[in-house]
Amino acid sequence: AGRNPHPLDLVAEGTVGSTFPNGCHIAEVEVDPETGVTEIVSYVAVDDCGNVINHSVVEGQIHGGVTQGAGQVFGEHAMYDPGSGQLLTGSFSDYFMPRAGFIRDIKMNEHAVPSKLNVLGAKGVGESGCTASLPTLANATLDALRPLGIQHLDMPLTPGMLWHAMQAAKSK
Amino acid sequence: MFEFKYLQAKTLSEAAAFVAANPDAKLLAGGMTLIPTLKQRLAQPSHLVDIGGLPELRGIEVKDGRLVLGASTRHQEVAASPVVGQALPALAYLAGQIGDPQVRNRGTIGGSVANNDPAADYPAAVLALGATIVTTRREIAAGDFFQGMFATALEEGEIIVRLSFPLPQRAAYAKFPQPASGYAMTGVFIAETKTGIRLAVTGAGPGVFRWSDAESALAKKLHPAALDALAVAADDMNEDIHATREYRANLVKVMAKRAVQKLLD
Repeated sequence: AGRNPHPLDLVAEGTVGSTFPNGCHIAEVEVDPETGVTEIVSYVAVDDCGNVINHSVVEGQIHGGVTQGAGQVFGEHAMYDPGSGQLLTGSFSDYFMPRAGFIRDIKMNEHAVPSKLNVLGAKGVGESGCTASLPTLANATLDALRPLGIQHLDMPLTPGMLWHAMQAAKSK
Repeated sequence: MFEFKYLQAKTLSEAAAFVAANPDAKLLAGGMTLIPTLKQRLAQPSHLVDIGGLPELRGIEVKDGRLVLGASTRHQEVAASPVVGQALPALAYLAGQIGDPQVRNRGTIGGSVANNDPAADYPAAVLALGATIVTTRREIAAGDFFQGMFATALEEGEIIVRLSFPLPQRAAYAKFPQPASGYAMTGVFIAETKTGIRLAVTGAGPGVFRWSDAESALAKKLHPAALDALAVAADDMNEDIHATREYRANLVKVMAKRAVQKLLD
């Protein structure tokens, strides 16, 4: 800070190591063969975000992150008209977003292993929910359809997309 | 929004006279379609004539075997009404499935029917039940009212006053919502009436339609299995970013079977 200190003046610098939040999520889903709708029957999230300072905030982060991932797996899709480049999903009347109740019940457990890289022993949790729920829910749905011979699905796994995949698998 | 003048009609005849004299004026009831349209500058009315509070357009009553709803009855009023819940519970259920609580608190049955959005819920009930649309000029049978996407038999300046539903023996509504908007991606209303089974489909085609093959099959056997051998032509279905025509054709059959099952339960 010089003779005319400003709030954004640099005061000090340091290096902070990266921390490694980690965890394991399991999802159980049921796919309706008539409509392609996927119901998330059960969802369990065990996360290590280091020392937990505020449990409510951590729960909220997991709730939001898991639901955000679920939205991407099952419906979020910015679609453009290939001929004109016009954005077709221009409002939330056309762009799907998960709403409260999209996942009814998320069972959560903390498995805190303190980080050695900072005095709080904290690792961060903001990205944990979504990072996990994307592959958990996509793979659970793929697993549900594997007996039909389906080996690959591209997100979003909308009801229409899954129904078409099941029809195509039936006709093979 | 483009600039417009707003006025609140004090009587129905004042509103009818005003829109007849001012062809660029638009009627405002719930505004759940009109206001977003104006916000996107997709319309430029000279005036908005607010008829949402007119006493002539209010009312929920059962009279002579018919349920009569004033045109400005809000969806939430229909959903929560003990009169509707007793006389025509399938209609109360349908109203409760429209949009979300905010939309249901404002949107009206008259507005929904006059707009005739191909994915709106009410047209399926109005057509399946063979309701009568009573306007400031005449009475229109449901079968003559709906004329295609956003098109109805209403003339310029003609205002819906009330809808009169003959009470069926039983009725049911099964809806598959479009995941983003909540409109019907397919909605099937089935009614067991004095003249037989009537089944109307919304959300799947360019407008609400009766599936007559299904009606004939169900007249012989009132059971979901009666529809197993039937199909609607995919070519007649809408296709958009949300669903292919084949998927809509599939939904028509699936939701029709579920509506029959609900009817029987």
